Amino acid sequence: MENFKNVLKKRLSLMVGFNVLVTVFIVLTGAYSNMTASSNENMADMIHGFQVGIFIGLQIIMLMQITKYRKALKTEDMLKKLYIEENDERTKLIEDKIGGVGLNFSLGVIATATVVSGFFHQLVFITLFGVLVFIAFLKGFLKIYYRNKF
Amino acid sequence: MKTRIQELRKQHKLSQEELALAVGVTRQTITSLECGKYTASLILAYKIAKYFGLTIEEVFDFSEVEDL
Repeated sequence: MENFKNVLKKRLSLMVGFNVLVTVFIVLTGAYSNMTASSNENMADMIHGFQVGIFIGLQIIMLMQITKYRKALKTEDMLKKLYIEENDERTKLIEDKIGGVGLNFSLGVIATATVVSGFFHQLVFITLFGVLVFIAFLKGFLKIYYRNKF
Repeated sequence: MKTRIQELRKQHKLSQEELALAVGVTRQTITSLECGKYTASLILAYKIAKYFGLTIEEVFDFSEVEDL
């Protein structure tokens, strides 16, 4: 349990640092909101809203995790419960399945969208094609990595 | 996979939560094992069998696997 305690302490300091960084990003996106890549005012607003929203979302998740870890560090019982929660083999299996199936499903959907977008818009086609190549390479790389690991 | 976990747990007057805590998994994992929806890893099977003072074969039913 002592090892897990140290892991949690490291995670806490990383999260606090990350939170500070995210706050800086939120301030920067606010200060440079006029630089968003759109001449359309509504679209620029939407892009800015998304940028701020994603950072605020990340911060909320981090704050929830920080509270959870701080609580767990207070008592041995809570620490053991958190350890079990994080290392439960069924939960890990579910997460692995989500990752594997999710990646294949995304590949299928993006491949279909890439083909369809080719009939309508060149830029969308190139963007989706780039994403498709990236996911396919990622899958290939992970397959090689895990075949060598296990 | 069929198991005797529920039967053994009741014999020992244990709740799912207590058994889960003793073998280091969540209560939901014990529920899934008892329902036969999830097959335990070798390590978990060993921990559960050891907890009840039995062998793995006495807790888990391997007849389905033997038919393969």
